[in-house]
Amino acid sequence: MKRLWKYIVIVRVSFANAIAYRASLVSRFAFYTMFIYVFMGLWKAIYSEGSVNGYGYVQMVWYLIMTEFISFACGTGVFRTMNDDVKSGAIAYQLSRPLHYVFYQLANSLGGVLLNMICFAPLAIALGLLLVGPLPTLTLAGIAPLALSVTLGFVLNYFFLMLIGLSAFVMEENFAFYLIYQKLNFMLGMFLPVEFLPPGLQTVARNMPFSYVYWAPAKIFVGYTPELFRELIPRQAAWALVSFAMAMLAYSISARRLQVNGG
Amino acid sequence: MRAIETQGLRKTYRAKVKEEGLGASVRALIKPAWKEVEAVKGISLTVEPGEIVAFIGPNGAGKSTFIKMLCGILHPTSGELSVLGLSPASERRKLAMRIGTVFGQKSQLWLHLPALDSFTLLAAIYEISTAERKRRVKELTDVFDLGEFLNTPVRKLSLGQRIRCEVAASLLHEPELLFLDEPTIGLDVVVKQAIRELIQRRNRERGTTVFLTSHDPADIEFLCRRAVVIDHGELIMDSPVERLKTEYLSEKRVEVSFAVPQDIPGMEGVKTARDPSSNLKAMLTVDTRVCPVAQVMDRLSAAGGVTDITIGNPPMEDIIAAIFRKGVA
Repeated sequence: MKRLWKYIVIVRVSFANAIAYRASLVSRFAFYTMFIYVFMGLWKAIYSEGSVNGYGYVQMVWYLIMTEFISFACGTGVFRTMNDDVKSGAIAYQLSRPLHYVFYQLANSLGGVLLNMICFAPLAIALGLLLVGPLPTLTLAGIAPLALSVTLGFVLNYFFLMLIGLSAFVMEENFAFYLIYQKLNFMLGMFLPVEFLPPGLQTVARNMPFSYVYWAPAKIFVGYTPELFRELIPRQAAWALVSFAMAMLAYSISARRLQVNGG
Repeated sequence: MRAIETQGLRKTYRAKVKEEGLGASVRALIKPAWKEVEAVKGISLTVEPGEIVAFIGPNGAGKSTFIKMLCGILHPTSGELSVLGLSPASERRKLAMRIGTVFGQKSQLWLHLPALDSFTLLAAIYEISTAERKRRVKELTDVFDLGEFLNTPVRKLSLGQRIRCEVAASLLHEPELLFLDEPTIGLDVVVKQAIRELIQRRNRERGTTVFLTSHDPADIEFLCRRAVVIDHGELIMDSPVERLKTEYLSEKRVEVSFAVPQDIPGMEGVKTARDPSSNLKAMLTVDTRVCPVAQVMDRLSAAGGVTDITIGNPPMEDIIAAIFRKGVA
């Protein structure tokens, strides 16, 4: 129990620490609102008549609100934190503690994620209601699957980012990997639902992990059906498991090859 | 059981090399070149429980790499290594419960939170019960005189206050072995002395083994009974600090300023160098075995017009250079 308790305390302390960044939170509120507003205009123009690929205009705006919510609230700086830790040598402290580094980073990130979720959820709901009104397809039965899907999306995204961050243990420069990962996420679900992609690319996207970070939860949010749940959740869970296993394996290999900079 | 025991410990890593210029950059992009860097070259060393050992050497000598291997942060390329009877590389988390670390140039405290919150977090990490944590925090607060700023966010503390909190944090789990990597760097003389006294007290009262690196010879003079000197990854000297003091720390630097240009009286064992930028300043290098510093002070005061005097040690780099000149192995 003591072993688990230490990670819970890390979440609590990182939550308290995240509260200190109030100015950053407010500026991200503004950025989130602006993002939704700009893309809402774009979708409005595209949706001048009818629905596109099964998504109505209101659904599309709520889809966008959800993917941006995941990006702003569930996104973590774990890649940057790990990079900075290795480059500044601060990792020496984390590795000289009786902690598992991977779980330490996870607990350390969760505090900020929890705070962001608490702060961004009311903003996201208020913006949606104000801009396009309630989501007609939202059902009470879809709430728990949505929560599960968001959680799985967070896990798989988190461990893929950690995997890229762990490359800092052995590589001098790894930002390109982060950039590629970010762009793939953006194109395969965050900005566009997978159904909007050309057929060939759709097949690729459905078999890659990237779409399960944003597309799967947002799709469940705007059009929940039990069939959709059975189709998407197992794939998300499988990718979450794969990303976790890969991160753990990469850590055990790269820890042996770590090069720490600075005195 | 020894506190530290190493046999032929080595650490080699690969570093990218690139020549100057755009062409070299393009070539490095297509075919990067690497070189093997041997940071630690087969160091054998033992440290007994309760010792305070100075581990010194110039920048880039391999001190931090060696300490990081002892803590289990870096894995050795080859050689034997045992710390408190454990293997740091394979038993890192078990060892971490029994060692404390202070890396003077890095912080282990959460900058936006009061040090007290970091202590709570560290207590949880080291699996210390709430009652025990409260008792230890109170004790450390009294010893390190942290009461005034324990509830102030760490980013608002002075460097001296922060380092006191850092050292206290590293002692919270009552480690048997403390690694101090430049704990007094950047501090003023008063705070440096306070930190030294706290470390000494901990060693005396609890028998905590201390493994210290520092660029300040005064840290070594005050705290350590044994000094280990390394350079270019090799152990070049392992001797009592008394010997180091006699042979290498007997030299003091006296910086003197005058109100009006003044002649420096000639003294045996004293070398004088005038400051080229000002004829009102001079630097005296005093061999205290020949001429005590007090005598130099008396002679300077008698000359009159002294506005300021600072007494210091020669820099560590000079001491290492002197060791090399004497060819001590």
